[in-house]
Amino acid sequence: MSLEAQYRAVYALMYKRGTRDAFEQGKFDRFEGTDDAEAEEIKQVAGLRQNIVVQLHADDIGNNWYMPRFPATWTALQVALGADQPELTMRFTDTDYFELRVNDDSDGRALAAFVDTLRLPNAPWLAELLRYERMIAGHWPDGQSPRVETFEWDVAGVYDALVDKQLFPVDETPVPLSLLLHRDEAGVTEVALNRDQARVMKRLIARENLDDAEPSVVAKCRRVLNQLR
Amino acid sequence: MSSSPFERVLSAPILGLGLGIDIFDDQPDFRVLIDRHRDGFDFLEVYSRGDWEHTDDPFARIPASVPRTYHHEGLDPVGPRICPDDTINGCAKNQRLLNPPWTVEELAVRHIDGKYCDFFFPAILNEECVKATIENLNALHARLPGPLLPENAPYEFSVGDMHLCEFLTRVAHGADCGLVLDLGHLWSWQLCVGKGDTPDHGIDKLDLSRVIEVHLAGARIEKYEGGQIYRDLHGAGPIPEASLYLLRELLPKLSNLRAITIEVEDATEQGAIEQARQVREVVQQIRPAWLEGVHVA
Repeated sequence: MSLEAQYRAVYALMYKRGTRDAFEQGKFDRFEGTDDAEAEEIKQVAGLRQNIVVQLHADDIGNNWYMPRFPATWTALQVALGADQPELTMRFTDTDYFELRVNDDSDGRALAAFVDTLRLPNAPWLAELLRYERMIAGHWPDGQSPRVETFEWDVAGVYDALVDKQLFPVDETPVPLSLLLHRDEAGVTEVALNRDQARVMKRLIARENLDDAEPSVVAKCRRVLNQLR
Repeated sequence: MSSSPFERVLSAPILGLGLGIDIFDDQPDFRVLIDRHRDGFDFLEVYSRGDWEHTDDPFARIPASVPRTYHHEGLDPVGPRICPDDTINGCAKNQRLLNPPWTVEELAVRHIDGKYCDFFFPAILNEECVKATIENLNALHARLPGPLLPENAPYEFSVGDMHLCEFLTRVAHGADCGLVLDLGHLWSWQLCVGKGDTPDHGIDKLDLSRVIEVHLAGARIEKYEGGQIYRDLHGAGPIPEASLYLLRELLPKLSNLRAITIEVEDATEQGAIEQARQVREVVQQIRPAWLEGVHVA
């Protein structure tokens, strides 16, 4: 008898569509670690009611976890995959990447692992878009602030299209975007930089000698940095 | 010999009719409720989402004059083993900060194999879970400064063939503790087992003397071909008639009742007070003496 095995079985029925479908189709009789009585109890759970509950919770996970935090990525995923929110959530939770979450995946690490593997031809900017959304939400790989981040795509423009204009960007071409990001108690501030400014700003933050740099660019970068600080 | 958790909660006075609020919510803002609607509730049930790292400041904003109970989450008392130490220590910290007469904890697990779930997985209703729950509650009581009041969690589907009321009674007797009976959650289970038309079906299996607190909350009912599913909305929905029916039926029989809480997270302040008024009317009609001396208005 294992209470643990029963909870694991219910967890799989809730979040692992492949396992749930296989169980309901009779591809296996019992979940690992359950005895006859427990297996029978689990069998009674699976079915129409449980499938509806799964759909409701898939919608909850989208509405409560991902849409408020990473709205552009979550919206883009639904369009790019041709899936509504419950369908998207169920595809995601079925993967091992979902198990990478910490608590309710507030930092988006599980979603990022999922997105990294998709390689969607109609949304080649997706992974960079999520990296951008995680950065502006304050989920940085380290504590260095301020910092210069360069994205391979104009992710700020993609974000605006998806969130503000509710348009799915089509036929985008890679246009690198460099941002100066600063994080404090009030949140993350972003300032767009051109290529020259980004190069100088990195060196300025690293306290490198800038004697060889264009003085006007250095002055501009110093001014922006001072304003942020 | 120290008194049991049940004896300790029995020593508390009747708190009356309270509002369950989340200290991290902007709506309803508990500070607004206290400042502008103090005559609409007798106490607050303070919910922290199981957090203990950011509670010092919001807890300190609750005036000492406002009676309070505490609602924790994450102790996972119905799980196969006791929860991690930091969760227990966090609950203990919050108990010391708030000094409530008891702490409410769902009879559910929020983590399975250490993985956070998007909802409370309610207790599996069988012998093994009864045994594990009693062991967990006894272990928790040995480490926490204040007694726990386990609460029947919401059910959207049910695992196990034991009646929920029998499960609650067995747990309360085994761990010698009181209970929170959430009336909507009780009905949610009845909906799972095809007894939604009789929300009090099998209530004789519940030792009503163990019920220290009653919960009511808003809900939405999802209908599908073959049944209905109770969705817990707290303040974002109306209190179902089935919950009010249970209140009317059970109120005269709850000999040790100390508190009735309306969970109003996500309600407007006005909406929260309106739901409290709705429930107060039922109490005044069915058991007016119970409120004497506690209503602040």
